[in-house]
Amino acid sequence: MSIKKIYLDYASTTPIAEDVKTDIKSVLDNDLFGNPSSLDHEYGSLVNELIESSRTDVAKLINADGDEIIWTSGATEANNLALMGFAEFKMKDRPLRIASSFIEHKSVIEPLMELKQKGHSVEFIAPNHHGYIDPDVISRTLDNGVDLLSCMHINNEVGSTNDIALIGSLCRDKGTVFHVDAAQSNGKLSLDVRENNIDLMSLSAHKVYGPKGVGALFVNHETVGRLKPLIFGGGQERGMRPGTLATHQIVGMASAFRLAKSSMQKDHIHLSKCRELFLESIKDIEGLKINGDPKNAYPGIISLCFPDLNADSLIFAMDDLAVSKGSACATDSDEPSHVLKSMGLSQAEINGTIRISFGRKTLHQDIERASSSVRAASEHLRLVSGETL
Amino acid sequence: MSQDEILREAFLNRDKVLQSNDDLKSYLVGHSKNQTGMNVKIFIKLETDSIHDARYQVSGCPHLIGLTSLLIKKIIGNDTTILQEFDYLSLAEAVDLPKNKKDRLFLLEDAVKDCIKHIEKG
Repeated sequence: MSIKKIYLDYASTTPIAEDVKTDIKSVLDNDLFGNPSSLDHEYGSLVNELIESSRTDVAKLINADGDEIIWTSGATEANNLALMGFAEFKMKDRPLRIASSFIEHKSVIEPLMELKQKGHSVEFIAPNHHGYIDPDVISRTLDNGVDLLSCMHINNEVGSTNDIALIGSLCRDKGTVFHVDAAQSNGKLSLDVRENNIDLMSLSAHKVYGPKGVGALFVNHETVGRLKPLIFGGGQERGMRPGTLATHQIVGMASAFRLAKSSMQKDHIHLSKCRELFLESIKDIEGLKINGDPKNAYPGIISLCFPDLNADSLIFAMDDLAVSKGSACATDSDEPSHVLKSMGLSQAEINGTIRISFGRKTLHQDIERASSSVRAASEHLRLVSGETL
Repeated sequence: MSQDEILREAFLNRDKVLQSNDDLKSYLVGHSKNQTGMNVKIFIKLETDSIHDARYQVSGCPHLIGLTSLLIKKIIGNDTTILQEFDYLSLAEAVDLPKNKKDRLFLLEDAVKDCIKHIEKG
């Protein structure tokens, strides 16, 4: 099947890189079907070696040890395991005090709401108008005594980037366990778990040219060590995440992470150039504004806002582009974006927001076409609405 | 033509969008809007009891724009009774309107009703 649209939705997911496909295929083609837990024969032990070398590769990207990586089905599960697993394991005689922010992904917010229901104290911090969390506000929050802080690195809707190094040091000073949702940033921005005092970190494969259905959770063995599993029925992943491991997916994730490590700088330069070209070519479009921090955002994500237009119609009019309104995980609901809302955008601004995200395969001519499409779509809608009269 | 194609063509067709050189005074106007900022304006030019011309302005989702464009095309040249008896469900079918967007039909119907009110007033 061939889709003739320019793909500009890399924040939602990325195509699997060719090298990654080759590595996945080599698992499928070479009798590597053994259960990695079946160590009594070579079918199992060979696959186990693959799993462990993959674990080391994933760990290397974030300067962790291999045994600090727990395989999951993706970042959503990793976020759930980090938050629910930590709270359930640590809760002894009192409920925990947990802090997070309103700009988090639903896979952080919803488990936290669940923990609140179970009696834990949960506080959500509002972002500033640029869409990131002010470390001063975090510092004041931590002063009240917080057991666990969960904070995303790059926001998936507006590309705002939190100062993980500073937040990590604040957490370490106050004795707060620090969880980072790095689904949108792993393999894109360098993030050393030791230097940044990170205790738990969620990782995704498909956001960085790896396969869907696999992710990982970094669990700092010195500061956290153990979590209560969310599911039961086996001793895999040191009892924290039972279930037979998906060898080809895990090999694919490791391959994607190796590739990301070697091409991170090149990717960043490419995305910065894409962003610069795009912003330059759309700057004179009437009524357009950029949500978030126009200067310090992650270059791969741009949130465009036309306060007087309808985002669905903008996307529909741009028939040659594959872009989205925002988080792919929220598009099944009619709820307005909780991220944009928490940044203080009006209903009209939220209704008129679309997200464009670039990736490795974005060409400069794609940028030109995209800016022409955005311009044409907005002009069409203005004309149809009578605004141009 | 598939339902998607019908919707796209209607969405992109600007032939009957009110233009700056149209004589606004010669049209009767019907207007409706909802709480999320979507709105429809229908402009009707009558000659005796028939709809000589019709125009529109619309702001909202692709379905609302497409439905409005189709409705305008269907009413031109007809007796004004078509406004009272218009088959909105056939419009919905033509573009495969999703169930969760049924309110767009109500918005369109309200704009038409507003037009009828003005026609009745004379």
